[in-house]
Amino acid sequence: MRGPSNRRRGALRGGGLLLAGLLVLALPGCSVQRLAARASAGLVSDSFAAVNAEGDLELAEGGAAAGLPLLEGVLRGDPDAVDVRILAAEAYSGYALAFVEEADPERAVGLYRRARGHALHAWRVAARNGGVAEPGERLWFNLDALERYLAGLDARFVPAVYWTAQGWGGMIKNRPGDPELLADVPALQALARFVLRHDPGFGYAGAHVLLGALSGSQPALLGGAETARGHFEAALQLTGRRFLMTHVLYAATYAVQVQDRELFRRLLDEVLTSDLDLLPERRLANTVAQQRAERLAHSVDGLFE
Amino acid sequence: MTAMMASMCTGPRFGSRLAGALLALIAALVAPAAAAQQTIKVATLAPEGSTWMAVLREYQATVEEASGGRLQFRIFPGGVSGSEADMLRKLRFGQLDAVALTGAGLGLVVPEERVLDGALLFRDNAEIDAVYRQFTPELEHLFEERGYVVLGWAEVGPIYLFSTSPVASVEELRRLRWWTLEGDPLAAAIFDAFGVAPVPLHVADVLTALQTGVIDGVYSSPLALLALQWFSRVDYRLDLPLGHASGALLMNRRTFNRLASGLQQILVDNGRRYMAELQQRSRSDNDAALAALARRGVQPVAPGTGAAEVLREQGAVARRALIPALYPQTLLDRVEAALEVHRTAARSAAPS
Repeated sequence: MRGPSNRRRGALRGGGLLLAGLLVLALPGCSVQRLAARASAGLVSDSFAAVNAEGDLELAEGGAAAGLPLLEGVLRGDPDAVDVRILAAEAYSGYALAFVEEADPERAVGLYRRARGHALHAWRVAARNGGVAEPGERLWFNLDALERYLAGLDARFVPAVYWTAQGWGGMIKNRPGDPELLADVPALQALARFVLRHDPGFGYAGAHVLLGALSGSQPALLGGAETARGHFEAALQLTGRRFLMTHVLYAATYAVQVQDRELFRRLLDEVLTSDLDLLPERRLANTVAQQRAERLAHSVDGLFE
Repeated sequence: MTAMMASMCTGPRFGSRLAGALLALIAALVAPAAAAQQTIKVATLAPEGSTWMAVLREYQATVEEASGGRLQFRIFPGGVSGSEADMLRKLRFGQLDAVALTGAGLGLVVPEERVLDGALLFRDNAEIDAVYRQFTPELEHLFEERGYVVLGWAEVGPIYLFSTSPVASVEELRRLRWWTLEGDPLAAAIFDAFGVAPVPLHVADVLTALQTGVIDGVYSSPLALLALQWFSRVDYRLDLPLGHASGALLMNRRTFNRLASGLQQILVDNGRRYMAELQQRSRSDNDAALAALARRGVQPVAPGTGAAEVLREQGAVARRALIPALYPQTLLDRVEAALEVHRTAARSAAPS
C-alpha cells in the first residue's frame, strides 16, 4: 500500500509542480509550494479515508503512521490550509485512539495535543478569513468570555471547534489526574456545546459522546448520570447505532457509574454482534470498538459490585 | 498441572530424596496459590485516574504480588458504591471489605477523628505530620473497638474559602452568602463562630447556585474545586486554610481477622507505605491545583491586618463548640498542647 501510493504521489507531485509553474504566472499570491501542497492534499485525504475504512488493524496502523508525516509535509508547503489542518487533527486523534492510548497513555497525550494544535491552527485561520477575532491564549481561562466568543461564531467553525475539543478530550482522558487538565474541562464542555448547537451529528455525534463520557465518569451523587445518559442516547439515535465506539463509552462510563450491569451487557453484546460493514467507511473505528468491547466484557466482574 | 508435575517427580528416574525435595519445593510454591484466594472489595469516591486511585492501584499491585496472589483487590472508584455513608453500610454488611474515606465518612464511625479536621488548627504541613504521628495510634484504637482496622492515613487537602468577591476579613466574610454541606458539623461550627448563616445545598446544586447568585462562596480543597468545576464561578480565595481534611483507608475488622497473620502484615505494611506516599502526592496535587486556579484568575487574597489572628481565634471557638458532640475536651486540649510544643520546638530550631 505504501509503495504504490509513494510512486503515485511522486508522479503527482512532479505534475503538480509543472502545473504550478504555469499557474503561478496567472495567480499572483499563490506560491509554487502552496499549489504543490494543495495538489497532494487530496491524495493524502483519500488515503486517510482508506485507513478509516480498513478493517485490518495492522494495515490501518501502517497506513496511518505513513500518512501522518505526509500530512505534515503538505502543511509545511501550505501551513494555512484549513481542510488539511482539520484532516491532521482528525488523523492524530484517530491514531492515538486506535493504536496508542490503551498501551501508552502518556504518548497518546502528546498525539492528542498535536491534534488539538492542528485544529486550533485551522480555527485561527478560519477566524482570520471570516473577520472574527482569533481565539486567544487566555480565552480558555475565562468561561464567560469563552461562551461570549463562541456565540459570535457560526456553523462554519464546527469542524475546527469539534476537533479542538476531541484532541483536548483525549488529553484529559489519558491524564485524568492532572490538575491543569482538570481545570480545562469546563472550556472543553463549552466547545462541545457549541458543536451541539450547530451540528449535533458532526463526527458521528462525537460532541454528545464527549459530554456523555465527561458527565458519566463523575460520581453519580453529583447528579451527572442522567445528563450522561441523555447524551449517549442522543448519539446512538443520531448515528443509527452504527458507530460502535458510542456504545463502548456508554458502557464504560455511565453503565459502570450507575452500576447497571444489564445495560452494560446489552451495549457490549450489540457491539460484539454487529457486522463491520454496518458502517463501511468507519470499519477501523468499529473494529477498535469491538476489540475494546471484548476486553470490557471480560472485566465485567471487576467493575460491578 | 500440579498433579502432573508431582507424578513426573516421583517417577522411577528420580531418586527418592530428590523427588522428596522437589515435592516439598513444589508444595511450597503451589500451596499459596492453592490456598483460598481472598478478594478484598475496596470502594472510594475518588474517580478512576485520580491520584487517590492511582496510589490504590499501586497498593493493589504490591499486595497481590507480595501475597503470591492470595489477596486480590477489586476496587470500585468514583462513588459507584454510593456516598460515604452508603459505603460504610456496605462495609458493615460485608458487601465491601475496605473503603477509602474522607473525614466526613470517618467521623460517622469515630467522631473523635474529626479533631484532625479542626477549624484553623494547623499552620503548615509539619504541624499536620507531628499531630498525625502522635494521635493517629489512639484514633486507630477507637476504630478497632468499633470494628475497623485503619490501613493508613492520607490527608485529602487544605480547605479554603472561595468566593465571587474578595474576602480579607471576618467583616467581609459576613457580607456574603456561603454554601454549606448539609449535616457537616464542622462547617456548621465554623460558620457559627464567624457569625454567618450558611445556605445548605446538595453538592450537585452548588454550581448552579453560584451561577445564579443564590450563594457567593464555597469551601473546598483546591483539587475538589477543580473536579467539581466550581472554580469557573469563583474569583477569589482567602489565603488562609480553614482546615485540613483528613482521610484514611478502613477495613472491616472481621474480614481482616479471618486472614492469615502474614497476609494481615502485607496489607498493613503496604497500606501505611502507600497512604504515606498518597499524602505527599496529594499535597503536590493540591499545590498544582492552586497554580492552575491562579492561572484561571482565582486570586489569592491575603488576610488583612490582624484578620488572620481574629480568624484563628474563631477557629478555636469552633473547635470548642464541637465538645462533646464529636470529641471530649481532653482530646482537643491534648492536640492543641502538642501543637504548642511543636511550635515552640520549631521556633527554637529555626535560624533567628
